[in-house]
Order: sequence, then structure tokens, then C-alpha cells
Amino acid sequence: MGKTFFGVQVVIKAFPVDSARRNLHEIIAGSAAEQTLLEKRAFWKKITAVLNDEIAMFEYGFWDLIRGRGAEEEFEEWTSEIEGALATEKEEMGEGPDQIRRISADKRFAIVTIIFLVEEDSNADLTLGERCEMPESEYFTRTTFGRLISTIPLLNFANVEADAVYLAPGNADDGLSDEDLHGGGYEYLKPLL
Amino acid sequence: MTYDILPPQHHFSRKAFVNQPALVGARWWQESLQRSEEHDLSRRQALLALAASLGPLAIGGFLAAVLSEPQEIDISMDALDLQRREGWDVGHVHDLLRIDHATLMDADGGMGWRQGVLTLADDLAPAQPALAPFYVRTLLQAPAEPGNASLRSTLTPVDPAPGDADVLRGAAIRSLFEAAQMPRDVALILDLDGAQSVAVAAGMAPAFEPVFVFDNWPHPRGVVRSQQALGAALYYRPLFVRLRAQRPAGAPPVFVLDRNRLARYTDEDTQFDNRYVARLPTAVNLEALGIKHILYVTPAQKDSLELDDLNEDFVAYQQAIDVRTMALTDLEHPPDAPRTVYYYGGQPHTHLWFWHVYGWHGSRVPATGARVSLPDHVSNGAAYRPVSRPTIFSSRVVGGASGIGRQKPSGFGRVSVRASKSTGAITSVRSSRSGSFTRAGGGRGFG
Repeated sequence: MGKTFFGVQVVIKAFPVDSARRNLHEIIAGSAAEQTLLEKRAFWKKITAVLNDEIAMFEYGFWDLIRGRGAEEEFEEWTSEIEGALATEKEEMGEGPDQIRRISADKRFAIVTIIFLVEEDSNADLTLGERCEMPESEYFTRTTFGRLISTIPLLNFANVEADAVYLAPGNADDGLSDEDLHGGGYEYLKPLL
Repeated sequence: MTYDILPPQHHFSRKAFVNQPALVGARWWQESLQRSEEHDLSRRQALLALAASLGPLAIGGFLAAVLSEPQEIDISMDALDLQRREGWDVGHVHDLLRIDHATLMDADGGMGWRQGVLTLADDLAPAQPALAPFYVRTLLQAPAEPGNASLRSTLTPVDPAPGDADVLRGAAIRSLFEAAQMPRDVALILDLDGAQSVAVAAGMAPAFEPVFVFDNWPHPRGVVRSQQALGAALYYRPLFVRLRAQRPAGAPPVFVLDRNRLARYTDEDTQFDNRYVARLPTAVNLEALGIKHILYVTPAQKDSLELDDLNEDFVAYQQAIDVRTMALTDLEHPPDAPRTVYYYGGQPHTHLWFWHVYGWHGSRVPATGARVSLPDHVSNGAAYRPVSRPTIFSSRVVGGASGIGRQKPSGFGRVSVRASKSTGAITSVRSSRSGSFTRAGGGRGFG
């Protein structure tokens, strides 16, 4: 059976005193190693609830829906590259935040990545397809990203083959700067209107 | 009621979990949807880059949590990285490297190429420092790599096309430019079969600075048979070396590509995916070099568009640089005349009409009198304009291929290998991504 890939990446303006990042961190870090369908839905409801409160803080983003050929590879590629980047980060980082090799010390942003691999033509796939159907002019707006994220709890998780969520940086004291986002491989991110 | 008719139990198992300053994240798979070993293998491939990129120091706790019982893991690696690590013929050390049109003599009729294999990359480097950053020496350097002794012993020069047609076509391009006092604001890109590109560059080399852009290694089962380009470079090496010293300073560049770099890959066991993408200068680089026009040379009239990996570059170029194409077959010898001189349009009187057709530097060329009509076989490359199109190389096209900061599309130029979990040693190589693993052999540490 074919697969469908769905991925959303959103850059949130993170303030120094920011409960959203802390909440996201806690939800992900406290996630269960084994989840039933009910637990899976509850997990994503918590994640999306936090994100929905932050829509006004969405600054940049990217999303993609790929059906059929390439979907599985796409999932693997996103996961391996994000997780693989961890090694790079670890090599770049010193003992404290001040030694992080980033372009600017103005660390205002955090990146949340959500990805799914679902069965093609399944109920979950149809839900995603329906919610991703929109005029091109609306691809990159805060409203669209809010709508896409709020789609997640609506999915039939029985059709979800794999899912993943990442928050970077994982440390609430750290963040990415504008300069970081305009170089170093983040060029694909679109400013959200 | 029996247990057989109960609905399947759905549960998600966490396969990756990280909670570190740089990243917090988790990844789950639903076990009940994993139906085949193939899926399992594919799932493992999601770990491959992780294993490769984490490196031995970081593999510890995180990878241990991610990888379960088996003693070996399947890893997808960049083909060139794998070859650099394990040797050019990794996984197939007993297979022969097939070289078409092999010869024992180089262009000077000698056997100096036997020593030349060691110096080829330096011998063919651009003389102009300004062009050095754009020279991609990967292929030309391959024979000199310490671990590639068997490649050195296998390699031979490659005979030119009958009658030196490609060199003569290169000479025809050169004569066009010499007639216009060698304008230095035009760069050429030869995107032909590798050996043919090298031969055309040889014909142009008295007046143009060749910049080779060959970015892979040959392999006995390579989908890109780059040994042909390498053999041609060996053949013409004496000529390139001689002309490098004699060429006028500031000669315009000709970028030499192998269009087989994107050769069709069918994921068969007989193929090793050594494809690659061309790395050309950016528009800013070209402007800094004083380039205002690009002539992209394709094999034939039917090849009217640039290859997919160049589309974005060409579209970016046209903001400031005029890009046009020309088919190599636009250069022909006159019918019923000896095949010793080639002309644009196939006739002496059509040759310099090139400048009027393309609208570049026409005033530098002697007037030709009456308007010339070109034969039908001449391409309409002067009318070409780069147009953005979705390709597998497009960066970030919604609904199309995408990735996170990657340069190659998914699976492109990658090879599956099986590695020992305990030592990291590669134990077997799979030529294709779907076929069976070939137990690695030979003397380079394969199990």
C-alpha cells in the first residue's frame, strides 16, 4: 500500500519568559514510549493546543504533502536530517550557551517540526488531503498553519504508520536568531503572512 | 468468537527519543502497520543517516535506544563517501571496469599516461586562480588516491571519436570566438557525454580555459560510467598540459560536464548509484568573472533544455546573464568535403552568422553580406530562455520533493550498506536499494 507524507515546520518567536516552549518540551520529553490510539490522540491534542495558542507568534514556516512514491523516503529524510543535525549541534556546542557557534546572540526563535506518514487513500490521508486543498496564495499564512496543525487531532490514528515531533533548540535558554534562519540551510522557510 | 477475528491492537512504539539542549524530539512507528521485512528495512534506513552523521562518539546512548537487537544495521550512505572509505570498487572488487574504446596510447602517441594518472588532477586544473574554485577534481583525482591502486592498474586512455570529430567541433567553436576577437564575457558550458565533453574541450583548449566539473568516482557497476570521461582526460592530458602553458592570460572559461551524471537509475542490482549533480558557479560568481553571456552546448537539436539539475541555476543566471544553447550538431562539415573542418551551419559562409543569430558581438565579426539561411538541422538555441520548472532537484516546491537543507533529492547518489553494530565496519553492500546485499569481499576490512 502506498503512503502519504505530511510535514509541517514552523518557526515561533520565543520570548525569554515563555511557557509555550516549556510546555512543548515537557509534553515531548514526558511522552510515553508506547502509546495506544487514545494516548496518541491525547498526545497530539496537547501539542496542538500549545501551538494553537502561539499562532500569532508564527514567523516562518514550511509544509508539504506528498502522496505515493517518495512519501516514505521523505519521512525518512526529514527524520534522519533533523536527528542527524543533532550530532552537528553537539559538535558545535560548547559547555555553555555562550559558546554555541551561531551567527548571532539574538536568540529569538524556536522551530517545531511535525511529521506524519499515513496510509495512502486511508481516512487519515483523505482528511489531510482535504485540509491541504487551498489556493496557492494561502499556502504560507499563519491561518493556514493554524488550520494544518489543528487537523492533526482529527486524524484517524489507526491509519498513521509513523509520526514524529521535534523542538529545536531543546533548551529553553537557547534559540535561533534571524541571521541563523536566513542562512545555514533554513532558506526554504517562508515568512508567514 | 475467536481471537482471530478481534480487530488488530494498535499501538505506537517509540523508535527514537532525544532530550538534549540542541533538540528534544520523539518518533514512533505503529507496529500493526509494519507488514513486511521490506518495510522494516526501509524503516531502518531512517536511522542510517543518523548513524552516519552521529559518528562514533555520539552513537552511544541515543543510537542504542533507537536500534534494537540485530548485530548489523542497514545504512544508506552517499556513494562517494562510501567509495572514499572503502575503495572505488566497493562491494564488487572482482568485477571488471568496462572501458569502451580503450587504447594504450595517449594523444601524443606515447604512454606517458601511465605516470599521468597520478598527476592528472593537477595537470588539468585551471591555470587562472579566479577559476580554481569552480574546478571539481573529484573524478580526475580518483586514480591518485592511495586506496585506488586497482583503479590505476585498470584505467587506460579512451580513443577519440572517429576522425576526431569532437575535437574538430571544439576547434570550430574556438574559431567562432577567434573571429570575434575572443570576447571574454562569454562562458561556455559543455554538457555532453563525458568523453565527448573532454574531446570538445580539447579542441577549444588553445583559447579557452577548461574547468572540469566531474564529481564522482567510477565503479564497476556505476550507473554513471565516468571511466569514459576519465579515460578521455588521460588521452588528451598531454595536449591540455601543453596548451595550459601557452594559453593567453584571461582566456574565457569552458565548464566541462558529463551529462551522464543524471543517467537513468532503475534500482537494479546491476547498478551502483554514483550519480551526482553539477556544481556550477553562482550568478554572482559569474558576474565577478565578468561573464555576461553563457552558451550551453548540448549534444543535439532535440536536447533543447538544460538538464534538470541546472534549471534553478540557469533561471537565476538570467537575471543578469544571457543564457543561450547550441547543439553540438549545429557544427557540421560541408557535405562532400573532407571531415577536417566543421562550421556552424555546416558551411563556411554560415559559420560567422552565428554571431548575428545569437546577437552577441556581431559588430566584431566581418560583415557577411546577404542574409544567410541556416539548414533545418541547426537548433534554435538562440531563442532559448531558461524557464523555471519543477524537477527532483527543485528546492522546496510545495507538493513536490523537499527535505531539510539537503542538496540532493531523496535517494539520489546513495547506496545501501550493512554495517556491524559493534565495530561500525561495513560488511556488505547493496548495489540497488531494493535488491539483495552483496557480501563485501577483498582486502579493505570487509567481513
